[in-house]
Amino acid sequence: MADLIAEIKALEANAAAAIAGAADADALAQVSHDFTGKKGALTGVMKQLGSLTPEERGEVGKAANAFKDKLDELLSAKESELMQAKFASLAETEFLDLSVTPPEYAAVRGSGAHSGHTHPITQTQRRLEEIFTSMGFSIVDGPQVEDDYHNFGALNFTDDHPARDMQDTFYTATGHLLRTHTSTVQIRALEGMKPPLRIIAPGRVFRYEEVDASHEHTFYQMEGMIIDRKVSVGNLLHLMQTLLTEVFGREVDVRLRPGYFPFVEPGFELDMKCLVCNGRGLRDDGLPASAGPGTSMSTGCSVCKHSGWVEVLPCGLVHPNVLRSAGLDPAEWQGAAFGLGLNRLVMMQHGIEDIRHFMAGKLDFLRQF
Amino acid sequence: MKLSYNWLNEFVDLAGVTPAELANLLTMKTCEVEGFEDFMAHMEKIPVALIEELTKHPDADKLKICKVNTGKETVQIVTGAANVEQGKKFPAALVGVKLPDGREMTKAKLRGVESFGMLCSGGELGITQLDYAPAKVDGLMPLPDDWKVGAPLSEYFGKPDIIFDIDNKSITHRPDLWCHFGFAREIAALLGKPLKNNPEEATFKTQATTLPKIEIEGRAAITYCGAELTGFKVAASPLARQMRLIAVGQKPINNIVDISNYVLFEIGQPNHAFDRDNISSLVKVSYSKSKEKIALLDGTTHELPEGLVVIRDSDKAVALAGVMGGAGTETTTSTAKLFLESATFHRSDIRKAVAKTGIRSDSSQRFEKAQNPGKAKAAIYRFATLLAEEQPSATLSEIAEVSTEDYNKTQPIIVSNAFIDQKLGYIAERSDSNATILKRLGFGVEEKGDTLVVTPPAWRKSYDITIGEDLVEEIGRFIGYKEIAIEPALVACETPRAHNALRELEHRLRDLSAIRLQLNEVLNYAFHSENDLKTDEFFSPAGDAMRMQNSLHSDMGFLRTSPLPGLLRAVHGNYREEKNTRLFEIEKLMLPPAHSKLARREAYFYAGAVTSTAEPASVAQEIGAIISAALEGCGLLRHDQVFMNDAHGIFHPGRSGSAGTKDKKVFRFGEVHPRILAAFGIKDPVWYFDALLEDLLALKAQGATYRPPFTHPAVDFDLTLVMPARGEFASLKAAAGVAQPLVRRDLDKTVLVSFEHVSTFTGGNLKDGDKAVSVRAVWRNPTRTLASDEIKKLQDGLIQKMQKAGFALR
Repeated sequence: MADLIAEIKALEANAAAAIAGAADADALAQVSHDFTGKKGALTGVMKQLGSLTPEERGEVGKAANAFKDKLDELLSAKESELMQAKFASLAETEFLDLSVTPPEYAAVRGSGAHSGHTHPITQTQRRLEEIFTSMGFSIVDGPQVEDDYHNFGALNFTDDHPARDMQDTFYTATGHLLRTHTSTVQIRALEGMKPPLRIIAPGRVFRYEEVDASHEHTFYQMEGMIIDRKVSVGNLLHLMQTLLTEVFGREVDVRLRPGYFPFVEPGFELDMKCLVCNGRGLRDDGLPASAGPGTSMSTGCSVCKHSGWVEVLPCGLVHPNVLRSAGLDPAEWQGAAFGLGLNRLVMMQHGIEDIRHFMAGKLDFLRQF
Repeated sequence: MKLSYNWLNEFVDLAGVTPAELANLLTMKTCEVEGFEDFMAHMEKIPVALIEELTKHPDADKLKICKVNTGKETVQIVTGAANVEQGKKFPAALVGVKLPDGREMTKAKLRGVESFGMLCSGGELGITQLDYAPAKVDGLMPLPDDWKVGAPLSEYFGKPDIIFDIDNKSITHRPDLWCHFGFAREIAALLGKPLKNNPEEATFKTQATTLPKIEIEGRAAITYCGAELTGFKVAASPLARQMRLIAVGQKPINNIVDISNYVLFEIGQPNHAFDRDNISSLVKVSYSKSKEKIALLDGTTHELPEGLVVIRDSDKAVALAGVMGGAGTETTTSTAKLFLESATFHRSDIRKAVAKTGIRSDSSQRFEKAQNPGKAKAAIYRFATLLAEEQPSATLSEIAEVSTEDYNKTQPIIVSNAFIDQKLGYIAERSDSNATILKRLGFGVEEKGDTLVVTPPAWRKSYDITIGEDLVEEIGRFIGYKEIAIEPALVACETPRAHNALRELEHRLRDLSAIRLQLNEVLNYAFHSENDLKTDEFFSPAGDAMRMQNSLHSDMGFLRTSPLPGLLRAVHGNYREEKNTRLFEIEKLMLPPAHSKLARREAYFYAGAVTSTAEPASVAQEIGAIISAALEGCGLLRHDQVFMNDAHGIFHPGRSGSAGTKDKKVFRFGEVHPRILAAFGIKDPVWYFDALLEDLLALKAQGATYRPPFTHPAVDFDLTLVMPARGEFASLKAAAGVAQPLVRRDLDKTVLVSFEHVSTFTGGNLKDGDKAVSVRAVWRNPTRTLASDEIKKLQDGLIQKMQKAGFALR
């Protein structure tokens, strides 16, 4: 028994030497194989166990395990040493001179690369920018990290306003917030521009809510606002109709109903018929969502949440308090504003069923646009 | 919020209005109806049945065969229930009836014996929530002997109902709609129907008694009404009342608690019943002291901050005002005398209490929208009326009321018809005048020519209707927005179209990247983990990133300071299926601000990440070509671009560079360091580049680099130079002294206009550690063709310069 333990001790010294001498990862793998593999040195030793008593076997087994542990420790130390050495020498061994003036792209065109695509949201955003700039609108931008005043206070959400609960908000450690809507830009624009004015502000907004097929914590909106001496609901309707007809290239079914947002008065919600399920709501019983009771609502179109209608455009006439926040006299100036949910609109345009695709970065999705 | 069709129908006649029509009416004119569902429809189809005969099943010990009298006929039903008994009554669901769990009754054979339905338990009927012992029996639900055989269960449990689901967000601004009567009043106005009765005008006979004294500190309550109620026993509510509460989502407890809730759902007035015997002679509405403790009736104890409104019995807080009653003073089964509270609080006080304690209740939900103080008394009268319907001996004391303001005062709104009509736009046909519509909605209207002096009704005057624009909405929604003609707004001719250069550049880069450079646009989240911050500190030190106060996931605790982690995650999601993953992104980084007035310096970036199966050297060339094309697209001509090796922490130390003008590095690019790739779980090399859009935009603004076109031929000269393998092409170019940028003022003499790389070799007869670089030099003279001796001089001069700089000619 003592012999066998001595043999294992000897193996340990041999292995340490072999590991120290290994030049790369392949050599290390070989060492591991040589000592603990099926035909390795340790296996050879262990084959002689048969002649020992159970107590002796236990002793030798312990020694063998200690050896294995030691070997693993040495191997992983050497592995990280080799890795560090490799990283340290990368500058020498794998140098590529990036100071060479590159060729024209046409000469090196990515081999095997598919054609490229812009994101469906930026495509639609751009189309909207074209439509509105052709109607005399300016494109403006505003910060995504905002203060309470621009996101709420100036938009007629007083401190005790229950509507503050309508929008779950991300706050930063400094007490700032991530804007919950692009309506912040109404105030930013009015602070820097003189009426009459017409602006749109596409951009990213945030809501503190869990992600599912129809909810995202990060999504895109486009705010639009006109300020002039006389602006009516009829004028706002014209903008909405132009927008949707241009985006979809045809008339779409819409309905206007009252909606409540503190920064507009009157305020409404423009719904369009869901183009993903063709307004059917697609309930599991195949009945339209409006069929009424007696049927379950367990599955169905996730885009319109079974209703057959999708809210795309909350809008209204600018509330006099908002005009006052911006230093305008509501007796002199009037306004109309809308906030378009870009994600929903794009989902309608292409029949996309799940809002999560937009931020998932899957090429198989992106290449379809 | 849930609305019961039957309940609404008690106040306004809904005959001829289908649930679908009602849902549509409300959606189009008032608020969002999310849907409607049947409630207890099966109870109308299940009769009280008498077991006339009971025999044993021939083949099964546990089954019994019943001859059941259902009123119309006698049917055979096989049951396994142990508590079935001859001569007793049970509910019988016959063939064709659908139970709440979805089961539909069919003719069945149980061990060879036919059965034409099922005798039901409370669970099968879906009514175990009731405070009604038979419904909770383990086995069939036994029915009282005096119930009529054949009568549908609905005769005893209340008519089947239809329940509407109202989107709470859409009635945030309408305090009056947080109850059935409020909706009924709205519906009556929209349909032009009268109200059948008005529970806000309820009264009840009262008797003089000694009530506790009521005191209000400061403005802690708008009004506080209190009264005593005696002559009743605490018991279970009648089944129909219990069912109605279940219909709107409330669990029945006992008649006192149920009536309190019933009044809340009926007229939206929160109220609280104290056990009078546990209340002393003084009720105070006052503010909490710092760290004051209160035990609530839901079993929780809270330490309050200073300044929340509480109800005190003498000095001890016994309720968190408008939110929840306290433990120790609530009604119990032995309560014989009630002190009823019906008060109205300021909405800001209630919002504060909810925000500080995190407790929400049906009461706080209503108070935080501002309830009409005028209905506080009505709640007490309704309470007494409902209790007296059950127990006629119930007696109500006189009501004591203490108010801190005259809540009946109303500020009229003065508007003109012209203002309203102009705001709405052109409406071709309308039958009702603005004044008529407002009157129908409960407003007082005095017409003085074109001017309307409008007094909002008590239930809408606080916060809801305060200015002329609010009236525009009332009239607009009443008429229906679809009636308004669509008219383009007039544009002032001089309106300038401001040009947004940054946005134009974004879109130009998108086109270039996708159409020419075969890249795909991705969008990534604005959030970073702590590790993300440390991965790349080029734009901001990790410690200066903005930390989030609330985040949905521990990996989203900070705002983005580098495009790299997001793009690497996108690569990771694709590269296994797509050997050539080619991505770009244009979005914002949230960087430390230059001055404290700004929350963040929000900087748009343009970045890309590419994996490729090609040789590293050719990928390096391709990435260089992409950056060169992007720079050119931003107005920096290829001739004026400067590429250099430049160490960046995120890159492989031998494959890291920058590109831009000779004065300004704009892009950084290279192969991502294998250490970082390993951390993102990526096994293949990834090449990456990024730049800030503001730097790209500045390239255009740097001024014209135009020069007149050359008209005389160029002179080319190819030469091959030997340099160390680690040597940089940039050092050759610098030694040659190429004119860069090539501007007009340089062009009065012969100039080296270009010195470009042709190819690089190693091996052959070169020493180990050396490489040979072939280059092409190009000279031009703007005014003449160069003569051969001049050319010779230029060539020799270049060779000399090279040799002087230590580069031997090969």
